[in-house]
Amino acid sequence: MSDDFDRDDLDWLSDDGDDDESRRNDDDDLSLELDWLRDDNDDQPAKRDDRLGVTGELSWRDDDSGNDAPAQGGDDRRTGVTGQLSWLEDSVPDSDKSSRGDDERRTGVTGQLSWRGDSRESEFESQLEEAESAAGIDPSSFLESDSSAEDTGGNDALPEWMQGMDMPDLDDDEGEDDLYEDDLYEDDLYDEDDLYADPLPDDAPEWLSGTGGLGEQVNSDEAPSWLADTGSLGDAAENADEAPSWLADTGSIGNVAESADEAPSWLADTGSLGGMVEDTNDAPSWLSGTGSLDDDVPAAQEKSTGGLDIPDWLSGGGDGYESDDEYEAVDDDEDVQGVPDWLATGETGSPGTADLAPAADHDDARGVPEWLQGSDVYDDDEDEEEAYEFAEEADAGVPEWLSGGMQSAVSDASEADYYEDDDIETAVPDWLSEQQTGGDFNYQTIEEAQAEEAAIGNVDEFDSLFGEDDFALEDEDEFDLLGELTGDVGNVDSLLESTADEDDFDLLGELGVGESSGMTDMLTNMENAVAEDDDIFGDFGLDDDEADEEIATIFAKPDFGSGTADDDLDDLFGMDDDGADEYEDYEDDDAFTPAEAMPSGVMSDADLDSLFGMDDDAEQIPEGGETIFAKPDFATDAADDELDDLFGNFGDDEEEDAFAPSEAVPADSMFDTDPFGTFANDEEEDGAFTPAEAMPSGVMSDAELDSLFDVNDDYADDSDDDEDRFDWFGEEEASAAESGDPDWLSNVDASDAEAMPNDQSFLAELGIEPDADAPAGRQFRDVDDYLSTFGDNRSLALPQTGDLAELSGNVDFDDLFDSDIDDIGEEEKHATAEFERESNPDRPSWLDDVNVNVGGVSASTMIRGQKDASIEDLPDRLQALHERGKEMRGKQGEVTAGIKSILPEASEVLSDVDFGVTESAMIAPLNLSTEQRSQVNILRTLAGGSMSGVGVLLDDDEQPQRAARRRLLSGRVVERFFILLILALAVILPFVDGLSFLHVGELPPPAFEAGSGQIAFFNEVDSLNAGDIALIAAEYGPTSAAELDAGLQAMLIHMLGKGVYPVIVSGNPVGLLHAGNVLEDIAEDLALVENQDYTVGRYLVGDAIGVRAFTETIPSAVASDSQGRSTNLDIDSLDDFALIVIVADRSEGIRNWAEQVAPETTTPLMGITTFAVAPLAQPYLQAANGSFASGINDGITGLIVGYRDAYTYLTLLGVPQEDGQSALDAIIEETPVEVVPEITETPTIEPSPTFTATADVTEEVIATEEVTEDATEAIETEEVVVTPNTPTATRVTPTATTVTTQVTATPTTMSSPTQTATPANSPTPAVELIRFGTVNSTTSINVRSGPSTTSSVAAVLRPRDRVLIIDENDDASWYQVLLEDGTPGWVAAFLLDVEVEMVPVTPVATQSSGKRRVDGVPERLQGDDDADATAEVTDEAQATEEVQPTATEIPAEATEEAVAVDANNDDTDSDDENLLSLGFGNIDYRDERWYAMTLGLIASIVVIFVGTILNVLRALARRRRGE
Amino acid sequence: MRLKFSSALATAITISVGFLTVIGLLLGDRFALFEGFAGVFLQLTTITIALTIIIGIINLLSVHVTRVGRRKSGAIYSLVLVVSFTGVIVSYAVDRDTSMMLLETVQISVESALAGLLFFALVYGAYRMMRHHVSGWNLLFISAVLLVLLGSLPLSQLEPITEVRDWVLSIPVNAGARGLLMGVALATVVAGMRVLIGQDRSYRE
Repeated sequence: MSDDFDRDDLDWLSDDGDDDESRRNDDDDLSLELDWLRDDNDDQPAKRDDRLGVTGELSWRDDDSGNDAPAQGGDDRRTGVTGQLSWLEDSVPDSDKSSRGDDERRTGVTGQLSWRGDSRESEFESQLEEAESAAGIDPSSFLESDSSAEDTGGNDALPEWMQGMDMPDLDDDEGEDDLYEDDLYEDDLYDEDDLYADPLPDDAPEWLSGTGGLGEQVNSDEAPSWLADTGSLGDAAENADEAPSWLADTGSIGNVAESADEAPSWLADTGSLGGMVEDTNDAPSWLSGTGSLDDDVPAAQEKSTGGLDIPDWLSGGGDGYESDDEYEAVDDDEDVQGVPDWLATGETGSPGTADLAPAADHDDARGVPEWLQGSDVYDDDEDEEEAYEFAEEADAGVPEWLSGGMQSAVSDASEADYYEDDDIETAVPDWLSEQQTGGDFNYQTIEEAQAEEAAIGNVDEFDSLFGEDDFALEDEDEFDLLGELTGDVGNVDSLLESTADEDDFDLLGELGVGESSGMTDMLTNMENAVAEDDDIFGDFGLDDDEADEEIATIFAKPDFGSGTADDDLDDLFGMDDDGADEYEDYEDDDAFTPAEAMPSGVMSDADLDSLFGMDDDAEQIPEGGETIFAKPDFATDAADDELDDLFGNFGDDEEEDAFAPSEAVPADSMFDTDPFGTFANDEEEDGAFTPAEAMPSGVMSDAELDSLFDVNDDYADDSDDDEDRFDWFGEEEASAAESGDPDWLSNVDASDAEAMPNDQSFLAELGIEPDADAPAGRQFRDVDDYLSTFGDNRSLALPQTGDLAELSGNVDFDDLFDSDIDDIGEEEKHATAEFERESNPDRPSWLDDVNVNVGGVSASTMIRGQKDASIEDLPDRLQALHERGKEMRGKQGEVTAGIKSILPEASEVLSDVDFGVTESAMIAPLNLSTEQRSQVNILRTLAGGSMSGVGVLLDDDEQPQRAARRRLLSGRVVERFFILLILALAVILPFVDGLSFLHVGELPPPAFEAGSGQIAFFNEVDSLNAGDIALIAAEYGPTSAAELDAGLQAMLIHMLGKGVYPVIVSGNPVGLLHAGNVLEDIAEDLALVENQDYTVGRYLVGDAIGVRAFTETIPSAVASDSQGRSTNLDIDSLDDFALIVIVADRSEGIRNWAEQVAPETTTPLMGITTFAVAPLAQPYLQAANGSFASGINDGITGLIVGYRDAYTYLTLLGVPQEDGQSALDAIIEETPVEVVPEITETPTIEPSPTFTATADVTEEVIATEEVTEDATEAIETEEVVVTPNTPTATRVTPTATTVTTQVTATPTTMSSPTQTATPANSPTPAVELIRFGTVNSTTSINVRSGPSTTSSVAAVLRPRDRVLIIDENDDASWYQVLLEDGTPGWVAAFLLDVEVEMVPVTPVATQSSGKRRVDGVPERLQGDDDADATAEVTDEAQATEEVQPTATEIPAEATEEAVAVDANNDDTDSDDENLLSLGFGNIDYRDERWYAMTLGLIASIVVIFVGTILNVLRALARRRRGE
Repeated sequence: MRLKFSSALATAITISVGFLTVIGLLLGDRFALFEGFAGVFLQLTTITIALTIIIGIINLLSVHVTRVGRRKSGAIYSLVLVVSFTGVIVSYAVDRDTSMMLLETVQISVESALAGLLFFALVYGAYRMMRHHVSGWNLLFISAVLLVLLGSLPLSQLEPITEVRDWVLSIPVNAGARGLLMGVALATVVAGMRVLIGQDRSYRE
């Protein structure tokens, strides 16, 4: 055979169907190729497939591109017939699984319940390391051998199926380290590039090529339908019937029980302990000998039996040894001659010397069933290092039931880590951990692991179980099952290593069918054997006696009489149970037991005992170990309990959820009423797990075992006596002991001639018609012929083994299997994929979907990366969901024949799960995206008709019909109409003339409350001087215009009247324009000029950021207006503004300015807000008030709220109310006092800066002084002539400012306001100065009826109360104040802080005054010409003319006077234009608006109240009716 | 976790600018350099926002012009929008007073009417509040509404209710408002810190 073998020829078996992934291809054991459902074709370590029900392969995903794009990762793990309920995404590359690696786990019909990240592996790794370092424990020790193991032979007693659990070469430090330390759970865990290095042999039928994996390499369409279906559990139910009955079982567990009898017995037995059974003799001789015991094997085989017909490797010797030394070097009893080189340790092809060197390399796995190869798939250490390490290697090719155990160790690690950080996975197979915990998954902490280790004493069981010692065995004396078979080969690896250098590997040759003659020759021999009607041992060169002897040697019954029986058992399991203490520990801790060491689905030690004739009699077991090996006393409950302890809870205990030992081991078949647990009996046990379910796929059921071992299933049932039942155990042993034969042989009808191999029948059963024309023994010329008989003959594309032979006649299988898939170029890979597609055009597309992977993680891998958790392990909510699911009203599914074939015991199944919005019993209506819909369609396609109940609305035209159209005139509409009508009338009717009766309520108060934010606002504006610049932020929109415009107008009039320069900015562009309009309307009436008297500034973008930026860029921000024109303003900072006012309809407006601007300046901040925003502005107002003490301006100092305050503001400005009086007029009139203006100080002349003072003006000032001096006289003589309607006079007379601001009017007598007229020739008396007193005490003070403490207390004033001072006593020690109720009272002077304020007066004495014209004043502002008393004023005006004052130079105080004058104008209704009418003309229907608002409020209250009452009554009525 | 260069660069820029701005605003004119940085960054921000507004306007017009051009469903509304936009622009360019008149007579009136509808909607909502469910909380809410409304009536006869309303507004409501503002402030601080330390990177991708 040549090294140049074309690897393309191997692609048929390669699963590298995609273009980017190298896949594993190391199958050479066709019987194991059936395990194509395993996920060893994906990118992940082979995972466990513990689907139990008719689930179907419903998952799919999309990642054949191999990129990182999200893809659907299908996964299913279910208990019960659940169907694929979900799909998930898992596109995460290996390096980034932390957040996307998903996993799902479900229990029952729960659907996808949870998922988790794969990154737990790394966490677990770290925890593992920590645990190691902390506890000083190397978890690998669980897998490593120790001295005791070596002493007892280590794992060499392992059954061969256990030998298959190849482990990484722990002799290789690198491998070991990588395995148990750093790399176990690294990201490389899923980097399978190096895993599937070896191509597969090319001599399998192409339909079998699919069995190596899930994916595209499956030529399932070419495969027999029954086999193609085995990859899909769901379909298997349907198609299994088509399969040969004996093979149908291989794909599913359940059928084995039924149809195993139909299968060629040798095949049914393969891969299981069944190989030891009787039917093996039906198998072709070349197969019957492989790895299985056969009752026809000579009971003993001498080491010198070489030369017999039995294959050398099985015969254990022969003449292959070239020398005695060589022979001796092998072993005393065995040699490896003729052993298949995957088993042999010697020089294959030339049977002879066994290579005793321990396995060091793993290149020699050729010929070994893939599940046995394990780590040997790696070509070199580097690859191995990069591979998954332990779990992956162990699982690579291991029968899935076995790999499941191993893989679950990894999975459990993640799982444990997931559920509990402190837990640590001890790498124990799950079935092992399950045993330890009585069925519940119990993730051990490191402490527990330590305790367990201590209890166990050694972990030989585990080591031997997984062949750990195989890698450490260097001691030739170590017992090795394989060594017994083939010589002292130590282990499988040793066997494999021994073939490392073989270039002419030939399995058939190794089988002894001629030297290097290949399988053809082997089959030829086999056929010859048929022709000769020889037995299988004859094929192997053994005569019956010799074969028996050989078998007896191999499986020699332990000599229990010698007291070493237990040791034998120990040897079998690699345990050393000699220490009583150890067993005590076992018992106490419910720790490791032999049964636990058994892989799931494998017989318990009791089974094995009986099988091998071992007697676990108590005498041989040290005290404390009785529980484990002692014969249970079934007569007592305790016995059952002991069993429960040993295997978990089962039997009498009816705890359904408890883990039954049968789930892991068929122990119940030994100890239960039915020793081998027939399905018939088990079916009656509420569908509990059965041994058959736990048996590895394709392995015999216990029923088969029953028959094989001649065990009557009804035996125990027929006996009600527990003792008898157990006596069966003992009787058989006793009988065997008596006969001197191994009792396990007694169970085998070794003398049954019919049980002898019958190749002819076997071949016939295979459907192979021998070539009648061929010479005898040559009817089946080669293996191709043989394989081609498997149903489908379309496997023409398969390379023919004959072709291989023709290549060189010496095909180097080693080279073939050495081929690293990476060596295959992309072109070749592509060709392979193309080949697959071309050769399988009808292959179900879902297989492609299944096989794809995402980021190196395949769906099937995810499937196997999980397993069912017990209900108790689920979170509470999931448990609750589970309970709900059980209570769910659902249809009982039909137990179809298909289901029955898969789950023979299934007595009931759940019905198809409805997805729908229409019939859903568990899932809320689904809103599916287009992608999801397509996936559902795929699911439908896959599930065929089984999903007919899916109620998903997939088509747009299936949308629910719209609700019925509403009635046009429903009661609600009528209701709304009436409410709207009521409200509308309420706010409209007050505007109608003649309906004054609807003017309900009182007008807003004429003045702000003392100490309020409103009065603070007013005073702040009022304190501004002409020329001051005020910044106004108009942060409101048109929606709030009705409420805020009034306040803005009042403030602007106030400012403009005082000569203040307003600058408007806004973060609301519309608000800016609107506020600009309001300002311009007023300014236009006042003949003001934009950018000379006011500016409509910029729009501040960015809300808070814009405001903040504005504060940082004041100079540039105010340099231009909204239209980009220069403002000529020279402002450097916020402090240059005299006042900042925020007009806002949103709290953000207030907040932005209060937070971003106020702290940046000492300029007072004030606000005008709507009623709704006021509560959120109030905190800033109070903060500002509180901060005054600290001098920090961090808030707003005044606040005007809504139309109510605006109304009052206007009133304060002098706008008369309906009765024609200003606010304070009314107050004063209520308590008429004689106001005697007194000059309290000498007036000072403070001309406005805008004035150019002239001599005339100065004279006028002097004249003013005169006026003030004569004030008293003027009052007394009543010669004062007030000139109403002459505001311009005051506007142009700066002296007025001087006077009004310096004069303190002191009410001295109870005179009428008319007596407070200002002196003649001066307009200033139009303003009255009144005193207010604010309580300065921190406690309440008394208001007495007289200026004495002896007087009675009339009222009480609280701190900070503000009252009007109307008089004082002679020594000014008492003030007479006016209380809110209008009654006077006396308060001690020291308790009040007195302040003087200017208020407009109503000088009724000037009834005759008329309007006058003032030069220099715009015509529209002129008064009547007939003003008699205007002459002097006119003079002043003239004088003013001389100084050429401009309108913009009007001092604010003059405006106040103007207001006052206007307030005193009785002719406010005249059509004459004057300042007052112009100034306030913008607020039409001022009172009507207020009344409308009041009436609207009343209507609203009524509506709400009525509605509430009605609804409450209705609710009460309903309640009374019990609705 | 892979770190893209662009993402790292954006994060670095954001953090740097953020810290410079904060320092500049905190130190003020004591360190003119930082203050200058802060000012520049703030201006850049506002300019950027302004540009986004412009872009938004362009996009708005393009969308609606397209809808009009393709006569899609609802194109009539798009047409109104386009015409209105054009009219305002033209009127403002030709005669600003006309534009302002349109603002006052059209927009202000319309928005005020909407505010009136809001009033009606609120009243009607309160009217039907108990229709579906009568609960203590609903009663409390309705009581508070009625209390405030009654207290707002300018009727001297309701003076006691007014006092109660004032107390409600000054104490509970004010407390609630302060709580809200404090929450906003804290959230702002937290959000700012998260951005400054790169925890929040909404600017990325």
